[in-house]
Amino acid sequence: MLKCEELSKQFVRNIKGSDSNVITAVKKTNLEFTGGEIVAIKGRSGSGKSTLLNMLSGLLCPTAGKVYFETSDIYSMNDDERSHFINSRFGYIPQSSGGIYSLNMIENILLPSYLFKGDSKKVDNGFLDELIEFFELKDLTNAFPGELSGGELRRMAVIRAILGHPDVIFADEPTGDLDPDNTDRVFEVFRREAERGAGVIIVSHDEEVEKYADKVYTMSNGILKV
Amino acid sequence: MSTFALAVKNLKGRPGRTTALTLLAMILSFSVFSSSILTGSLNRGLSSLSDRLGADIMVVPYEAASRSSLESIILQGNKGYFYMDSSVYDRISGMEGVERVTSQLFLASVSNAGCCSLPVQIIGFDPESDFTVIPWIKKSGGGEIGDYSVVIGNDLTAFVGDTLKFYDVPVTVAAKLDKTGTGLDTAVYTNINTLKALMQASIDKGLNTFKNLKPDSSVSCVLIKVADGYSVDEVLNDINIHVRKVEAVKTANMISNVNGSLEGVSLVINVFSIALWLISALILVAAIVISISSRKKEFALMRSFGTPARLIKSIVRSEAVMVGVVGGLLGVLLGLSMVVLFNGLIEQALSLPFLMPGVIIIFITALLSVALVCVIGFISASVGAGSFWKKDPGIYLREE
Repeated sequence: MLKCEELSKQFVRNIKGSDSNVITAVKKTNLEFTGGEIVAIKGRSGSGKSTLLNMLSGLLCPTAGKVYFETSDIYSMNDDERSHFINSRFGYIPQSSGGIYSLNMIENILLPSYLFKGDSKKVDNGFLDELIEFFELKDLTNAFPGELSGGELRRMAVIRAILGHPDVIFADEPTGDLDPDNTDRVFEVFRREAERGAGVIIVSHDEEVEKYADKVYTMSNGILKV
Repeated sequence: MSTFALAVKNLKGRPGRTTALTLLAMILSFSVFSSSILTGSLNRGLSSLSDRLGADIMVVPYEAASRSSLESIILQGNKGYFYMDSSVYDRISGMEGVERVTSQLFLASVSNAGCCSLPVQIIGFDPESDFTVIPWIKKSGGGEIGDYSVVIGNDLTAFVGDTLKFYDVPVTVAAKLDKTGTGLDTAVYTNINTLKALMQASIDKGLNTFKNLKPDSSVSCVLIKVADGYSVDEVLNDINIHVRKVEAVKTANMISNVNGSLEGVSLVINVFSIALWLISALILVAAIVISISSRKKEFALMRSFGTPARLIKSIVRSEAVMVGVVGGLLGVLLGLSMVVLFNGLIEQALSLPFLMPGVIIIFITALLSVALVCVIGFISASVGAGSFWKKDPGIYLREE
């Protein structure tokens, strides 16, 4: 379903005393993900796992290599095509919890569904209510991001990412800010989506994610290992 | 949710930021609008003065006719009167190069004797020969001015049909003149017979400075239109050489003196306005660019669920244009209130003819001022949004 070929990413940084300013965050990586499973990529901070996730999700252009979803090379698309593609096929949970400051929780959750007019995608209100109930956010739907805790924002981001039943869910440190109960809830939802056929790719430095994953990779110094 | 609705929510969601940007837009619009109206009004006043003077040369008594006192009567509405023998009129009428000639008599009413309704400058013109006041009366919709009728300047607070009293002589207001933006707007005009009667009344009451004055044989000034083929300077020199105890003044010089002052004042207004425009425009641009820059993470989040770049650009541009429209309109309203409320004070402070443009010109200036603020906002938003695309959203999402 989703695969990358020879994927690498280099950054230029000005570091005093260093011989080279070029840092290779992800070294030539080949990987294929299938739907219906939860894949965890573990690694220490700075190992390159978030960079890899961002490249796979269409948010960070690789220095070299390709990312394919089915037969489509996502970085060969123009901005409008790629945006529409991301909106309709991917769900992304960012590492830092946050939302659109001027929109309340329900508007934040629904915003992706309103972006493309004429799109056949409709909001599944039953599913929305179910998720809000499940994550115990019913009383907070009119609250603004500035009024929510980190854990509440994280749960809001999870609902926003999975509401449209995407083909692939990307989650960057999804258990950050969450207590064990809510961590279980998030993975329960991920599992349900995987059973529906979606691919779930999680990057985390939390060793606990292993127990929820079907497949675990480890990232170290930009190199991905099984 | 439409781009417009999202932009409105963003503006409402950050009231502090929105207020600050709106205030900057207001200052920019205010400075553009009010300086344009101020300089426009001064230029219009000058053009109106030139139209109203009508004559090429004014001849006044030598001892009373320093050019500044003439200018103070005509430009600032100061009251004053001086007389010379009416034989001057006959003498000038017969001179070579004089095409038309008319005389005027001046009188000032007094405020503290209880005999006059208003303290004003009263100008008497000769209906037979006049070529400066009658065209103005006609243009203002007035007709023939009979005895004991007056026409009043636009700034006077009397109405057609009112009865005014000068030296206890009742006169009827027959018409009100169009505004000129000069001291002429505070004067009262009547035919020369009525003015002679008023002069006699002022002498009888002992309220005229000239105790032994004979109204029938006096004039205050003689206005001359020079014939084609003759130069104004030639005729002027001829009068100054051959007619005793008078001074001939070129009205164009008077206007050019005013024009000189006006250019100076306009330059000061323009320099200050341009400096204010530039400063407020630069602050507005910087504030919009910084404000957009501080929202990079929010935009990156929007990109993460598939918001196209063009939509984010469109949102920030809409926000900037909305701020421009609201701030621009507030600035125009502030500028308009200032100019309307204080135009008398401005006119007095500058001592220059000041005639506000018509509603259509004010409307167009307002529209252009608001449009300028919107365009600056739009460009700033485009620049701010442009800087966002230098990096991928994935980079901003990781930044703390």
